[in-house]
Amino acid sequence: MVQSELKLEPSPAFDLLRLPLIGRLLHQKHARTLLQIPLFLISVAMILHGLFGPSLAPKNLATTLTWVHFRGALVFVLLLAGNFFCLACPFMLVRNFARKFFHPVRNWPRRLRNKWLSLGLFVAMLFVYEWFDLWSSPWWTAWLIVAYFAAALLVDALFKHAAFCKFVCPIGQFNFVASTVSPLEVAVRDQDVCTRCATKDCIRGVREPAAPLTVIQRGCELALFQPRKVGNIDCTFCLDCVQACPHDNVGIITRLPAAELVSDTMRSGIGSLSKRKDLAALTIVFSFGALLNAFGMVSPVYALQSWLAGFFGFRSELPGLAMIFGLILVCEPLLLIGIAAGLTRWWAGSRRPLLSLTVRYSYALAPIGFGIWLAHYGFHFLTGLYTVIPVTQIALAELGLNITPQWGAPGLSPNVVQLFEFGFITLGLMGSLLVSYSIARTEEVDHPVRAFIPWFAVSLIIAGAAFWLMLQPMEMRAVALGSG
Amino acid sequence: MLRLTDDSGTAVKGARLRLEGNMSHPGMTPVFADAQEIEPGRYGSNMVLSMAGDWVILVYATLPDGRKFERQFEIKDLQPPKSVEHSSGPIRTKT
Repeated sequence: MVQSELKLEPSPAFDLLRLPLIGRLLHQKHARTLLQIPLFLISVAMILHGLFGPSLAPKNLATTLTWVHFRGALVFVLLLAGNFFCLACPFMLVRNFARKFFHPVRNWPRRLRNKWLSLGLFVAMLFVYEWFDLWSSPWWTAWLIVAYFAAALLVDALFKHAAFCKFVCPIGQFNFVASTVSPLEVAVRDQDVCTRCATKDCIRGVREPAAPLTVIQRGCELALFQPRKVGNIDCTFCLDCVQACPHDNVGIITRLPAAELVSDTMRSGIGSLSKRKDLAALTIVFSFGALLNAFGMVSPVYALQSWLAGFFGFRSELPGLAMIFGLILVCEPLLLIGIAAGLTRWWAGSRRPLLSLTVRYSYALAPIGFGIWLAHYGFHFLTGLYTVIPVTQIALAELGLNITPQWGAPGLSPNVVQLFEFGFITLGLMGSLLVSYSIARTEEVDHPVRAFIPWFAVSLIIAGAAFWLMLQPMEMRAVALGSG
Repeated sequence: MLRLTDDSGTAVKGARLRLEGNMSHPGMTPVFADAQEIEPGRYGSNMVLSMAGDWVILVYATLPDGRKFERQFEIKDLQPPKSVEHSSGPIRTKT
């Protein structure tokens, strides 16, 4: 038998920063600012139109761009590339400008250096969205954007580094969990170069040689040391590390989506995933929150609210809504994940304590959660894609331009988009199954299949619920008039 | 069916009414329809409303003397006919 001498070298990963045009643009010192300025200007237009434009949501830029186009584009960019919306975040543009005048000296409080606060804010956002029917109110949507700018400014005026992004921002946390399934990651190109590096500028920043206290290029503000960074969690794609690295050794590189959810190595700025209860809770809320947010758009939710109001004698929407939130975000995960963890421990003989085991496997729910967000937001984005044109025409007409809004087809046909929805959920389900099986193979060497089956069942139940939701007729309720 | 009267309650004949239906969620196009005068001061229209839920109907009226005005009203909790409850087809409503 003749052995071939041909050796198969692994193909080099695709590196976005090596591309001729985009790579050069992103390497520029002010690349982030250039990307932030258009989004900032759009945000200003949304605020003004939300406060002073038409009070009907389908005719207002604030509601149309926020709830249809921004959310849809966000999930598609996360699916196809990575966390580029954090890169172009307009809130950080204002914050960076303010940092020219404010020089915070305080560190973010030690007790709050976790995801619990941002997890609470994420739930609060979901709750407020349903309670105040934010999608139907340009006025409240505009104030939400203003509040976001104010919060980012306030937090980062008081505290050093990127405290708002890492510990507060609910959109950022959504992006961090979702980007675990993205195909691109900011990562070092060659670990050996980092080993030989003496300056560690990617984390420390570049200092003025003559005045070492003066930073001329920031290092990572989210405490991610590139050589030990694993995955996309907590990475805002700000590219500070790219600008700071003196060896041009940081790229935006392809990787296997969701593989980082399996790894339990020590990660810079994060630690081991299996020891981060807060991150696991965030992933659980991210996944079940996807179901909850989609549930809010279909007719059975109104039947349930009405039944709860009748049964308990509620006179306002608040207690019934709180019960539904408690049911879907607390009771359902506790039950499903608790049973799955218990079965894994008992049937597969896992030696991990129950809580630790729960935390370890919970990350496997990120792909199915993302699949549901993608299906939901993708539906609104694709079916309402072209509405941005007449809504912009309305805004321009209000400025005095002689333009008549041209209402044509709003977007793709819902029947076609429904196929995409099923595809996204199926893709998410497959991702979750692969991740949970990979974790089971790593953790329970003797009985990986027994460890996997309970988590297979949890993912299947979530996916089944998502398919059922997507088959329900949509029902747009809660008209909010006169608020703007 | 819409009834158009002046301040004294007298029916207004010969007006042109254009209706525009909007839902509460962005990303949807409005539905337009013209109303026909069925009897003096009473106008009717068939609007094809594309989804269950709450609708806001804007009425753009042009009076016989050329004056224009707008009014709006809500249709709360519009439900599809029972026989097509799970279809994604439009809902035809008489206004």
